[in-house]
Amino acid sequence: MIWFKLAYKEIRNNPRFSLFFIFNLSLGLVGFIALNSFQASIHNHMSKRSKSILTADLDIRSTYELTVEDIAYLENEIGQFSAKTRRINFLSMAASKNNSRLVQILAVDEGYPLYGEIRLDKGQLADQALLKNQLLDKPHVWVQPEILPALDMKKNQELNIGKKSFLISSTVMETSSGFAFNNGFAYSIFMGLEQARETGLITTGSRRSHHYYYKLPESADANEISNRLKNAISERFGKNAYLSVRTHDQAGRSMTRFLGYMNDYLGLVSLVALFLAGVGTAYLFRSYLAGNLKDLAILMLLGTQKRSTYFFLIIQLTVLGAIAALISILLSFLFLPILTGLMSDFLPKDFDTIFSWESVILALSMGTLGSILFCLPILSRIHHLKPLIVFNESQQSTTGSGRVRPLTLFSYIPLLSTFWLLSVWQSNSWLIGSIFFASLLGSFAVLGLIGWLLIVLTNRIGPDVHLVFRLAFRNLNRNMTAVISSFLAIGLGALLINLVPQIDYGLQKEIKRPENVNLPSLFLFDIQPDQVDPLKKFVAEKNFELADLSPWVAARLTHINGEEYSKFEAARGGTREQQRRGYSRRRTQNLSYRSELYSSEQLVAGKPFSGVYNPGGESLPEISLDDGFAESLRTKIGDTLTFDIQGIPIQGKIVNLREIKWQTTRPNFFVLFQPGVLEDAPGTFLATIYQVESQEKVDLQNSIIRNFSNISMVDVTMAVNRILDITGQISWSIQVMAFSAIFVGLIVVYSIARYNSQDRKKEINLLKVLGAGFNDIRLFIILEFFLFGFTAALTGSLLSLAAAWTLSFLIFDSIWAISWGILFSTIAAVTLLTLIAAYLGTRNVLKQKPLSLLQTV
Amino acid sequence: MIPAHVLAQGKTTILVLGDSLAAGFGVEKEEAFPFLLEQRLKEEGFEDIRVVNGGFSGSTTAGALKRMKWYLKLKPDFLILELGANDGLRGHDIASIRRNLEKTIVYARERKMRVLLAGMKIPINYGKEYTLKFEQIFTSLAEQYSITLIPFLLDGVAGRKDLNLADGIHPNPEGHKIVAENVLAVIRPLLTESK
Repeated sequence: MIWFKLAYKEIRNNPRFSLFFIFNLSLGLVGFIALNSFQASIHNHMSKRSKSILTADLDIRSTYELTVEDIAYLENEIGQFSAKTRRINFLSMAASKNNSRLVQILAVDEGYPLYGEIRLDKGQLADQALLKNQLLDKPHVWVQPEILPALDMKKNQELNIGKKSFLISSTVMETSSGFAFNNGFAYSIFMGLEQARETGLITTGSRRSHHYYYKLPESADANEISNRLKNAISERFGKNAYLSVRTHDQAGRSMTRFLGYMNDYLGLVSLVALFLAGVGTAYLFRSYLAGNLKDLAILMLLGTQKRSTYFFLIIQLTVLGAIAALISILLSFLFLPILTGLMSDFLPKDFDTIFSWESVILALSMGTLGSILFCLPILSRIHHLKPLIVFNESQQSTTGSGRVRPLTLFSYIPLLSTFWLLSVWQSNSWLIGSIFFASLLGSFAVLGLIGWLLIVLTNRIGPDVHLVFRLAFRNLNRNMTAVISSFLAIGLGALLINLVPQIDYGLQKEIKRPENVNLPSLFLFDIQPDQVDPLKKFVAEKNFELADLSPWVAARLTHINGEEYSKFEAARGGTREQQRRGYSRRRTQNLSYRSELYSSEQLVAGKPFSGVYNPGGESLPEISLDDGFAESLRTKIGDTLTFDIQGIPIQGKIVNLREIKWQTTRPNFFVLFQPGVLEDAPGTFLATIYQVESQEKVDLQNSIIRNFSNISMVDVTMAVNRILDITGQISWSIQVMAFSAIFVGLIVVYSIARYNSQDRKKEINLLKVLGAGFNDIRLFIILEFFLFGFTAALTGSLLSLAAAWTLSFLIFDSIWAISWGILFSTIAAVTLLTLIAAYLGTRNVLKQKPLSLLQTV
Repeated sequence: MIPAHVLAQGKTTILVLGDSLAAGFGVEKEEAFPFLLEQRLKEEGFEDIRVVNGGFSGSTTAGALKRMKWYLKLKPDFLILELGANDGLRGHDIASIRRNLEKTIVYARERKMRVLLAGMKIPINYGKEYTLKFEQIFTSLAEQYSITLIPFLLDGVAGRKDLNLADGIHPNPEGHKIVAENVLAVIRPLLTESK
């Protein structure tokens, strides 16, 4: 108990240290909790969305109807579930009096959808009562509105499907699952499952998919159940089963990819906040300990054992850490709803903020245990503390001897290993976590080295330099430990501050729609060569333009430089599965030909095509490759490639490499041939149509299909908007995260600089006693802080570029773009902040009368 | 542009102009029926024969004629026309499917090729009227131009789980063996005749 009292007394006696310590750690922990909670909220939000895309937690899909026994067997494997329903999908011809059209039937049963919703015309929500009343009990259908003009029909008329006729009682404007597939070539029709049976189309010989949907209890792990089911399925139905299982996670593929990015990213960002706080805390503790070594020595002189001294300090740290943790938890409680409220304009409609209890527990343990871990290396100094220092005038000599003792090194191990494990845990990957951790350590080493070099170099400066400079340099040298510590902290701060927005910049650049790029409205496939001219004319008559017309020839890569490609691929190494996957991806290629580049392409190596190929000449046809594709094939300019174009081998030579901006959604090709080679090859054309208003789109699509029945169309706006919607939501959260990390980082840098400048009180007063002018003192202090603040910020920021590149490369599929603006602002901001902190911190000291010096001695 | 050995003379060339069934969707090219057909023919003593796999997944009848012209470089003696399934599955207009096939048949016959037409069926969920009209395309064309009809290419394979891939429509390697036999049964007499 006595130690608690002593610790409490000590905290009270050092209010400045205690306050700074708590303030600093709280901020870091608030950042950590807030970031973690946001991470959890986003995860929750995305998983809600993916559930409504699948309409369930779990979907078992079969190409035939399962027997009652089969279902019982599978449900036994699922275990508990709270609801279930079914849906049968199949394609069929829907016919009106004069017209027929391919449609996709979605035959649904009671309870559908388990998640998400169906909106009918006039925004009416299709609830269970309506579903039962209209679809399940009566021969009614809800159709996608585009079907009506395609069949020349209106609502409340009857259409025929199979042996049965159905009344169109409503149109479906929106479903959270989207319209299953094939926008543009088969519109969807909803009907009741039992009604669908009466069409006579659900029988042997028909091709369809049966979906069995399940809603699982909150606590259930859908992926684990899915794996269990897959094993059970191959056990009962054999390997080549016509059964597959999907969880909601797998439903929105593009979303899962981004979700993965987000999770790893936010996890690491919250660690950055924590690490910054840790560095700040350790630095404060170091300064505090340096100032109190004498007190400790006195305690030891009075007979206190070293063990008890440790105990005393650890209790002190635990108490302070616990207070900081509690404050930060309280603050997070207040902070999160306020933040959510402030951002309600940017947040998706149904966004819920979740307070992550996991991170609260973690914050508490990081507050208490973490502060001990961070301060352990400093605590280890007491081990070498000699009570004799009581009689020693200087304090610095005992704390900063510069000699590294084994115990000090050893004392870093708990901290480092904990931090490493945390990194792995937060990034969900041993590799990425370890690399993140290693780069932080590496940065530490580089910063330390540069800081040390700065001191050594400034020490070399001769006597012919102005006194103010000499004073500043001398000071740097004299306070070596403090300077290197501050250098590390500020440099690391700059690194971490810059790192987040740099990655953010690259990510945003990747996922955001490129500015001033028009996205096409419709993508047209399968245009036959003889349809090109009539189609052009037809589209022009409708006042639109057929754009980006590109020939498309399917081919298989067979030889590289005369060597069989499969052998070449086998030499690549990697697991067999990787090899197989990569092989089939690279082997099948879509070729095209044209003489000029699109604006979305740029020649990066080689020379442009020489013109039209001369079949009578000696040379091989010219090929242009996408630079990334050339790299993955491991080919270079001058290599020859042989393609099997539908049974006929065609050989060509690579003459140039192109860089393609894929986000522009134009028909781009990895492989281009020069004109004059592939014109005869069997192929089709792709084209796009821009700027079609949504109300005109259906008419245009229908009239194209009527006149060119084989052409397939994809409504790109719909698909692109879906992705943009998701990426838009991700962009805002990235910005919020980056902003909070910067805030926490800057506060920590500020508090370190301020505390550091307070340490200088004695020196400054001493200079005054010695007769130095106020302006000179101010100038050398500014110069000193500028020098190490700027160098630290510069080094840290440059290191962060390397780190950002590595991270982008590893986590984000090489999405990488430098923002020079952010880089220079970080350097300027950190330097300025160091200066402001130094000015604020020393302002009072500068004003003090030198007399105070005499009082303190 | 075309390596010389490919244009070796003196062979009887059978061209399979087809879709994913010929291309061997989901199986290796060496497991697809055109390759198996060549093997079986050689086993039966038709040494000097080459089967060219002109299969292309997802292809429809609309591109048939254009593709046919591409293969003229190989001077085919026989054409196995195996197209139409994708048109049917996409609900294309019956008349235009027929027209496309017809043009290809006429073009091949004008170039002295013997044409074998592979009959197709589509699943009954497309409705009785459409499926029936679809099947009639092949029988009526065969009759009109007196060409050989392979009544149903996937005879004995369609609808059988053990002979198809998990998607339920593309044959697995075992299924392709049966398809090859189906074709062999029809082409054998023609080859013997022309020997």
